[in-house]
Amino acid sequence: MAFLEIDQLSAFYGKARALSEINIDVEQGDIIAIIGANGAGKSTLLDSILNLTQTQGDIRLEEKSLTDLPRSKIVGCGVGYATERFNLFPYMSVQDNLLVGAFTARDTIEQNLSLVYKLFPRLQERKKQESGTLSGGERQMVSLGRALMTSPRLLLVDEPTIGLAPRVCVDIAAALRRLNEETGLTIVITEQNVNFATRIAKYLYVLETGKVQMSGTTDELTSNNELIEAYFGQ
Amino acid sequence: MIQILIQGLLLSGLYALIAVGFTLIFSVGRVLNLAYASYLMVGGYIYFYVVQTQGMPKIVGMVVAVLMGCLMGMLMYRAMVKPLKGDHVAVEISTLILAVVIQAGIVLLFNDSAKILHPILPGVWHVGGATVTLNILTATVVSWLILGGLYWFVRKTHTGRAMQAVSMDAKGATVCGVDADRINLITWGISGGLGALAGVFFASYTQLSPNMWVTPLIIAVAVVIVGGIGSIVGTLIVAHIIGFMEIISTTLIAAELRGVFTMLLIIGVLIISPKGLFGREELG
Repeated sequence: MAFLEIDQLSAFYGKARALSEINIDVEQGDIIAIIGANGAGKSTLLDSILNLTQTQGDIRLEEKSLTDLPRSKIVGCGVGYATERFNLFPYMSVQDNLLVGAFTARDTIEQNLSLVYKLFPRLQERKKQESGTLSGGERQMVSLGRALMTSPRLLLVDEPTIGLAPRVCVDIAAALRRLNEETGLTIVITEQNVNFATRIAKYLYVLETGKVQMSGTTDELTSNNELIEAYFGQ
Repeated sequence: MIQILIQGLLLSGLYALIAVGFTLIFSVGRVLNLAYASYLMVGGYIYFYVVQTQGMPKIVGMVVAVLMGCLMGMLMYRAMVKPLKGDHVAVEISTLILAVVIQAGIVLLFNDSAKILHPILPGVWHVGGATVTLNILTATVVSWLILGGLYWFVRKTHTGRAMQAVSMDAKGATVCGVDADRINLITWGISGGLGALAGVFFASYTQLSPNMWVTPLIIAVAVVIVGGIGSIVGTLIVAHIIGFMEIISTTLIAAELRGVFTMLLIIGVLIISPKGLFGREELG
């Protein structure tokens, strides 16, 4: 049994089907990337894991079904989510944003704060600053840090590089890799930036119009001419 | 002059307490609860019933009033606001109708004649040539303590931070494991309790009557519009502006002008700065 099993998952917005019978297995300690263009269903897939959309099918974390759990319980089960638009609390300080992340993980606040500040020292420098005044890269760090404050066993990161300068993307990639190597955290990211995804992920899933079109190890797919043509423009 | 200064300070504290529950609900749930002032009416009448009809101690009357206010707030959220979620006009109309229904219920139970609430703390205090009733002094001190406590609660506790989070970004709060529905329920409970307590003090300052909810509703709306929805500090400052304006206009110009300057201030602020003088739409 895989650590995370997404089994025949379909998702809907009203009557419109956004995802069709998705099957994804993620082993513990892996980083996987779901790549695809805008509107492919990447964010919907991550939202579905948190029960933020209407779904059919099953999602299991260590064999425990998440599908019927309330969202707060899913977070309590160890699912941290850094959303695409960050969804920060703009008038709250960086530290208070992080502390909201600890809402279901109050016993591990000190150790998680120390992990976040070690990973992103800039956040410690700016811990009293309102998050609404931060740069895009810093907001991404707060978003990731806030997800880490939930004490996740599975970290979902939606388009971590969107709108960020290349230099910041490198820092974010390094932080995610370091997190995975040092803590063994399982990470699922979605990306349009295939270069970024292939740099950090072990497995890739290619999503198109709500369906998985291709999947395999990063090495397999980066030697696939069809994928190279579609996403690398070569 | 001293009399105006002291009366203004005391009245302002009471106005801040009246308004803060209203601003809490709008900030967290984005709902204009037009039945808010009926918490004040119910709080005042429950206190009257427990203390002056049943002869129980005043503190018991206050506790029962606050608990009933909490319960009423939570029931209102569960039974009316949650099912209508998303439809703001429906919520506003329903809460206004509910206020009228509650008023009719009060008339049925207590008849429509005004009732005098005994002072919570009888007596007067002479200071610098001014005379202050201990009743309004108590109301103000309690208001300040409660507002300070509420400010601390919202800023420093997990639940308070979650209330701020829900008011600023509901999805962001959800991915942190915050149950927005539960936070809304808690907020409605706190708001109901604060409203009921404010009602006890307000009724002891004025009188109990089935239409006593109208004036506090205007005060709450005025403080919130002028101060800016979501700002506890803004609420406090504007409560003082309005409190002093009322005392000055009624003392120095004419008692009939009570409320007039408050209305003019609302209109002026809506034209010049629609978000209020200190405002944003999130709690903080």
